[in-house]
Amino acid sequence: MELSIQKYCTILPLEVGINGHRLIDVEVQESLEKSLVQTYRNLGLEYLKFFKMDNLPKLATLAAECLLKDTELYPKTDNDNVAVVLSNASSSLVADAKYQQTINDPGNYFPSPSLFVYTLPNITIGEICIKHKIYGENIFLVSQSFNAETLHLHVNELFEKTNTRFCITGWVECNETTYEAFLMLVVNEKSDNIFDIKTLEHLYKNK
Amino acid sequence: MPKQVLVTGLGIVSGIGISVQETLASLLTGKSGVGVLKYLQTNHKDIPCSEVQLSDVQMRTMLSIPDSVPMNRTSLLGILAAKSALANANITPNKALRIGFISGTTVGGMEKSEQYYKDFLENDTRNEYIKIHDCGACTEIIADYFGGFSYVSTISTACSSAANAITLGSNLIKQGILDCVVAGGTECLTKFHLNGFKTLMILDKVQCRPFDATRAGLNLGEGAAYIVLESEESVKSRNAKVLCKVSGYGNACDAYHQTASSPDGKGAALAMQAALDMSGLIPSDIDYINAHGTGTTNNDESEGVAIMNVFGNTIPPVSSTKAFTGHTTSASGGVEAVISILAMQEGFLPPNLNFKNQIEKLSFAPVSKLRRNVKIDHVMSNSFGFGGNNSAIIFSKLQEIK
Amino acid sequence: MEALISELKEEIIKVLNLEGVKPEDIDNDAPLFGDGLGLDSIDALELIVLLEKNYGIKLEDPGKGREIFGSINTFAKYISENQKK
Repeated sequence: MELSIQKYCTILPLEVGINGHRLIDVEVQESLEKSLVQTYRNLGLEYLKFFKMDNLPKLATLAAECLLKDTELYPKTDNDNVAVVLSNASSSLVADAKYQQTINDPGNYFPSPSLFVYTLPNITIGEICIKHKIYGENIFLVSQSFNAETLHLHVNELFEKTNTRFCITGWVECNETTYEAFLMLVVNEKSDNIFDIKTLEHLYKNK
Repeated sequence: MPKQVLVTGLGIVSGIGISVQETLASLLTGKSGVGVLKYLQTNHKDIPCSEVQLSDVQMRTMLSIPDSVPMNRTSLLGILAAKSALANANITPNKALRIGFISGTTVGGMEKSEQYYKDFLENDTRNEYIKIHDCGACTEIIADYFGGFSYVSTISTACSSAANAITLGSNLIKQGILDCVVAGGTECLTKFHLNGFKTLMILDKVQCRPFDATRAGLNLGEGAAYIVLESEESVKSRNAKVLCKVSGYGNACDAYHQTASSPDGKGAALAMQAALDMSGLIPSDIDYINAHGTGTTNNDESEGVAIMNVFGNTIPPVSSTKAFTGHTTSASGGVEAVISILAMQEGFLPPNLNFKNQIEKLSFAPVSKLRRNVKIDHVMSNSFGFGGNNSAIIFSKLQEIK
Repeated sequence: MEALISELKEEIIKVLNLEGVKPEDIDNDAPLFGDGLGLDSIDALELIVLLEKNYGIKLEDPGKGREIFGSINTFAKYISENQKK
């Protein structure tokens, strides 16, 4: 088994990169949400459901779009062999706080279902899977910081023990002050970037 | 030959008991924990829920945690359940024994945050609770209570969290990275998710009726439950008593909707089939399915169709125990793993309470009355989370493994 | 009724995050769900919240939503017949 990173995407508020090269710049915006929307526009995407999402799934959707563009994702077998392993530090706290605002004031008390729906980090995985029809194994891990060891362990196990043939994995962090996405497409074939802990740490650090 | 993952301890607190013994007694006597809210301070007293019958003060006393130490209810429940599991397995965590703690939660410290939200904004009197709001912080509080864990992690995949904690723990043992893992989940009730589920209009106004044609939604519950997973070498070296083994598990995405399940239950079927494939068992080998069975119009039909598609003509007895414990969300995979293992050990089929009318589309009805003296060698437990994260785990008696 | 219809369209666009949709794009008789504006079950729940928040109408049975939210016209008609605010 020789796992490698076929492609990786990084998204920050002012830029999007593919395989370490800058793809597009994004103009400074007043808010993180506006930055995400501007990134969507600059990438020329067309997916209206994007606008219903909270910031975390917005970010992950953008990263997945960049990652999967022009990638032959589906082999001839079922698409239940594409796995998704995401991680971050803040879970869905931004959405949680937004939803909390709708139930804070006893005099103006209207819990919002569309905000509540995003108060779970794995809905982010759900959104990627719904759009790209991915039925494989999926998990969302929460840790204080990017943890190459845990991701490596988990993804390795998937390829070794299940019928996983592609794995979308990485770090998708969104908090009140900033966001960053580092998303990789891991495959069981040789390519420039070996999927090992050292490479993961290096690529994440230099995104 | 892949490494076996053995189960050597169980611990559980929920609305039907604060110990394994109490839980078993409630299951055998049909005693549900669903009732009027007593501990959660909310205006919605009319919504039936299942609460653990202990106040935070009582739990602190039981665990000798002084008032000066900031604590949230999710962590307190977790410590109680983990303590029980470790005692049952006769283990004290220490670095020499490579032992991990993996816990699933979604609300984390939310219950305190929503109480102190105004203070967070207006003064500095409750700031220590900001630090323990995170899911990860709650897991660490539980792990730190015991000390000695060399690996600690949190899984947050909604209602499949605890099940996924168990599968991650199993993988770590199979990989030889850890010798032992305490895995499961914990969740307390909060106004946050009580209101959230209410606004999704999937809560029943009375005790829920899983798999019933007239079902009208779920009852929320709280609780914590962990199982102790261990490698064969570790079990042999300390001559531990083995309860059963984890013989297979599977996870798949339903890829249909943020909160609803697909009509054909594709994700659920894939997860159950993957669990069977890993275990080397065929559908007719499964003696009991503890269903996710929340009581919502959507889940029960979807899960039922998935069961029909996987099991065909050999559908085993199926029941949901959520009318007992309520839907304990992130803890449900752990709570129901413990219930499934108890059912297997004690040879009984927990009844699916409040069932009267079979769902038209389904070819089976759940077990509606307690059945004892049943031979159960293999039990499957389903946990499906929002976002389409579907998991299934199979526990098996040791001597019956092929 | 005109004012209510106009107000409703603005509110729906805002509350449901309907990107790129202007009030003049919404036909009063066109179906809101399904192919129409492509609204889904969560959107339906948000409209139920809107009913209570803006017009004081509490809808306990989500099943009734299908008829009420059929089109802008049926929606406006229901509000004008049941409004409490």
